[in-house]
Amino acid sequence: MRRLPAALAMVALTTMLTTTVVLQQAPAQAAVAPDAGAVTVTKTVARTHLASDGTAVEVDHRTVTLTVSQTNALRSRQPVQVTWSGARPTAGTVGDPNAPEARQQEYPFVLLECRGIDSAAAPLAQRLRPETCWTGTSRERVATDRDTGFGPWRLDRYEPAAARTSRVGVPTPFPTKCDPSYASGERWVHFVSAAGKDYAADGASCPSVPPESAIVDNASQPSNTTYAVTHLDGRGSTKFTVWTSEDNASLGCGGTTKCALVAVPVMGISCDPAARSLPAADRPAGDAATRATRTCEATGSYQPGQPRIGGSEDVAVSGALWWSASNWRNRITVPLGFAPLNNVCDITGGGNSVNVYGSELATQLTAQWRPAFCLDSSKTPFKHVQLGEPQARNLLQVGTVQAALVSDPPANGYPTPTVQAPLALTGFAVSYVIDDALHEPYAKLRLTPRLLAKLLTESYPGITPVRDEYPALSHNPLDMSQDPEFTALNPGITVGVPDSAAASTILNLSSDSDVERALTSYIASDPDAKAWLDGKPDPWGMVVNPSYTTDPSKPGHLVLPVDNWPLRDSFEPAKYDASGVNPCLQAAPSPILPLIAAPTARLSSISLAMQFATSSAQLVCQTVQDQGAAGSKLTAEGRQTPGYRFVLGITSLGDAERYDLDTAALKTTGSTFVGPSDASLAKAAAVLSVDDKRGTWSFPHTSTTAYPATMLLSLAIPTTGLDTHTAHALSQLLTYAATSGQTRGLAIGQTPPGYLPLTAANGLGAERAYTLAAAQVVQAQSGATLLPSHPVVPAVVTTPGAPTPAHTPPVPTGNAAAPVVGPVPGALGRTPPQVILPTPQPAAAVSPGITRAVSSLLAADLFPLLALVSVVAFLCSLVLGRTRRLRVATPGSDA
Amino acid sequence: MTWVLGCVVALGLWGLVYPVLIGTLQEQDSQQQLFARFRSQLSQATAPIGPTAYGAPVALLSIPRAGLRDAVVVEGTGGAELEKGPGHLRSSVLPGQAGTAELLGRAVTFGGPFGRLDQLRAGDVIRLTTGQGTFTYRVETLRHPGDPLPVPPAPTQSRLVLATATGAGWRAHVAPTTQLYVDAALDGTAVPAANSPLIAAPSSEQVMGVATDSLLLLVVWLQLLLVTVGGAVWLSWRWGRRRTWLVAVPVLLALAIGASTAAAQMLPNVL
Repeated sequence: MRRLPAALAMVALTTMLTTTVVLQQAPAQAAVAPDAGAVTVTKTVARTHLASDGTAVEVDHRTVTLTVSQTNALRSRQPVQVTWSGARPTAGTVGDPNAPEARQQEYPFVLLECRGIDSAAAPLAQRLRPETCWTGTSRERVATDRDTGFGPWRLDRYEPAAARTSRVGVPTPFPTKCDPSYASGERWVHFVSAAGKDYAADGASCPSVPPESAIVDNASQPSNTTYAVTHLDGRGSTKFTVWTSEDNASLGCGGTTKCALVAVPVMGISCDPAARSLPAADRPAGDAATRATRTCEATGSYQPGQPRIGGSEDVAVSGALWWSASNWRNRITVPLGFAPLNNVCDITGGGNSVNVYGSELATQLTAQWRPAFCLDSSKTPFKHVQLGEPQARNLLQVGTVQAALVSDPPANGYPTPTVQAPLALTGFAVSYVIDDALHEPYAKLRLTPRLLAKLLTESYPGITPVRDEYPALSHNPLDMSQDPEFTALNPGITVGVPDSAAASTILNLSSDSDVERALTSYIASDPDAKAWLDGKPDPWGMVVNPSYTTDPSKPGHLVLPVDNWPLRDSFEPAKYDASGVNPCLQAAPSPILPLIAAPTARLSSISLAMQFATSSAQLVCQTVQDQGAAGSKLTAEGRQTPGYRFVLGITSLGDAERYDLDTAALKTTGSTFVGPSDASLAKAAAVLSVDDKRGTWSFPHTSTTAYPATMLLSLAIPTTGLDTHTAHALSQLLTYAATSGQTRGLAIGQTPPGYLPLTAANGLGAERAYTLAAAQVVQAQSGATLLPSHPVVPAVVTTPGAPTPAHTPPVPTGNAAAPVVGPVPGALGRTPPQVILPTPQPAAAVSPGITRAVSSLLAADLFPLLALVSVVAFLCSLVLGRTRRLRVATPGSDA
Repeated sequence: MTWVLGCVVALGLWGLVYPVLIGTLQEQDSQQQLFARFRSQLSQATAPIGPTAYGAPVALLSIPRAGLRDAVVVEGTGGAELEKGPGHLRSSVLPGQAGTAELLGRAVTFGGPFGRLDQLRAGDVIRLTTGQGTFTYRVETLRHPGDPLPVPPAPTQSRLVLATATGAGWRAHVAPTTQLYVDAALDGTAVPAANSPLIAAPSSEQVMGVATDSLLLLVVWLQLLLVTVGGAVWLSWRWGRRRTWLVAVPVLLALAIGASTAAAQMLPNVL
């Protein structure tokens, strides 16, 4: 009864808001907590030659201001936003700042991760120097000069005399695999690993490289060494991926090893061609001197901002000499602080730890909570084993696992008494990397459920052979960038992209997951998307791929929502790519659209693909050598060219925050678009509706301000049958999750961005109270269950005098409504009954509470009111009857 | 105008008469049928000893001081079940079993079986017969809202809680404003509880619970009533008043009782 006015109000509100409001996602920085340790450093850098008479001639000087978004609590593979201003504009630019050839740019802004402390006072083994800085290839550490033998680094006025000799750092014996033809003018900058191994000197190969730099292909992640571009206004920005020893053991950052982000604004070599202080052999003479001086003092062969077209840059101002003393002295060092490594708990020994199975949505949360348990001897450590939620639920139901991280409850309820304690409000994100028409990352993508449906249903042909040969899709746009619906929503993105296959799909999960259910529920809840899936063309005439139609009249139609997105299309074109040749597919024909979709089993793989803009479309036929026999196999397209990127994927909100991925704003019930932020999650928290039947809260797609992809992350634990140790450990985890774990922050034990903490201020007081109560019920193992109660349901009776079979002690609930325990009523209908085991309660010495009063106006006043009404009406009729009789008696009134 | 007022008087009186008088007749009828059914179940040893269907007889209740003799207790405490007699709260164990058994009963309407619970005194006997035997409880306390809850019984003990509505003075039997609980302890040891899970009772089955399940039913009854009234008016034009009265009154009365039964199920369950 109470729901009707609420529903009416909701409908009215929705219609009111439908028209105007467009909410954009909060800026990325807003989500970063204050303890992220953003750092701004300013430094004046200069290029000053030394004239032959010994006077200094300043050619150029700049005041560079560098800002790093986060320098604390950094984790494996985490990107930090680096912005700078005042640097010299880069010339001869290349597209990918992480590619090894980007070092050949002129005046790049070089960013490196280096091990050590940047202080001359530090002992050599702990000092930060070029030898401890990571580069992806050895070509970035070796310089040779074939012309005069006097490369600019030999004329560098700031190099010590020993470093200005002919062959510096060249290993002896000379690596046999290297070309020994250069007699002079060679400089090697060795790399020294964290373990102290000097790679250039070992001479096993040419040049010997640490194992992490061995594979350089476009499918793996790029090196974090960045030769970033400074724009004409002296400003620039890039994301720098910080590595810990988990990503790069040779660099070995994190734990007790100190590391820093080193920015080298390349200004060019400060030359000292006269080299007065050096022995004659190290001084260029004659014609060579003229040429060497000209090379050293060169200021660049490209105009600022001009793209690189060939191999003719001026070495003296290129990024290749980042290690030279002239450039190195201009460096800005920003020390980095790391979060405890993931293996910290393995080191402390998790012998008696408990395992928590399930949702990948929780990965970032458990990664921050876990060390708080394993480093605290008073707590039992836990381990999060990642599994699809449906699988974790099944294992919990059959009793194989003791705790499952899930979002949804099982369709038919748990067979044994189980609590589903909320841990945080999070969700999934549609992450993307899309470059706009100016080749800059597009930051405000908006998507509708119908666009998501188009991507998921493989309704864009993706490649021209499919469009030409597949009649069902022949009139659809080739990819999303060419879809009028998309371009109307997202102005400024180029229509048509080089990698149309990647732009025709969204990287999605291949395994069973609650994320898929939430995603497909969201799509199914949208009338436009549903109508389109049912077979109605969109306003621009695009139709759904017939294999994915949800039209009930079609046999084998798709029924949403689903736990697992199926790959249903089976079209095999005669030609496989634009040139018509794909040896792999010619040899073994297979449906092409599923190969383009190429879903993956893990959300973390999708985050990785999004972080490095990797297209997973399996369209590249690669020749492989397998035990001597040449074969070929299909592989992913790999990294896209910066400036022309277009990939989308479903990730967890936690991953999107940690890896600083751009996330799309999604269309709500109205015409608003809402991106993930604490604010929009809090709006979602406000509309969460209690669902006693399912024992949890559900998120209805009714709000125009709530983030549509919100999901409640819960830990399901049985309340009977656990051994004491496990019950205690899990109870401890729940108590922690409801109390000190809910502090927003990046430190150990805190809740990272992407998860809305369970606090009353966030509108999650009832959920928090439930988790607190669940901790007690789990500890007791008495078989009790909890019904999530809705805060606005008025307080109901306690079972008077009957401490019910599964009674739990009173729980501190703050100002939130207490969750109901055991058979105390909730808004439960008659069916289906919640199950409570009749465990006799040991006698307690004290009264468990006070008999509560229930007031009922109906009971108190119904009968007196009825009697009163009858009497009054009777009296009235008497009076009325009398006046009428009087009137009848009055002569003339008859007429 | 007089006609309208007459209708109001009739409705008001019907609202008083139906739950108290006709409801009592209905309750007595239900009790007779239930007693016959439960008696045969007891003799065949098929009486339920654990959770059973809504409205099924589960025990016989005698409280000499409150004038109850072999009242049949039914399973469930929703408004509809309590129209048949005292009801057993489904989230509690059955009387006689270890733990706390709770029975709810109406105080005013439908025979008001628990209307005289306020006359009980400590030590009074409450006798219950279930499929597991006959159990004698002795009243410990009469409890009102605000009083401390009793200490839970020991694992082998059983407590009985009777709950109903009451009020101060004349209100107790007409317009109750508060609740009355009678706590009683079992003489002797309890039988073990059935090994089947208990069922959580929704708020509509708690004391003073109100269920709106029968709202739709009420609407249907009222629609039928409306159509019949319309038909009767039409008939009175065709046939004349007397004959119409003869035909319509029984039908209208039956429909009124049907509608009232549906409406009464939305009253607080222990009223």
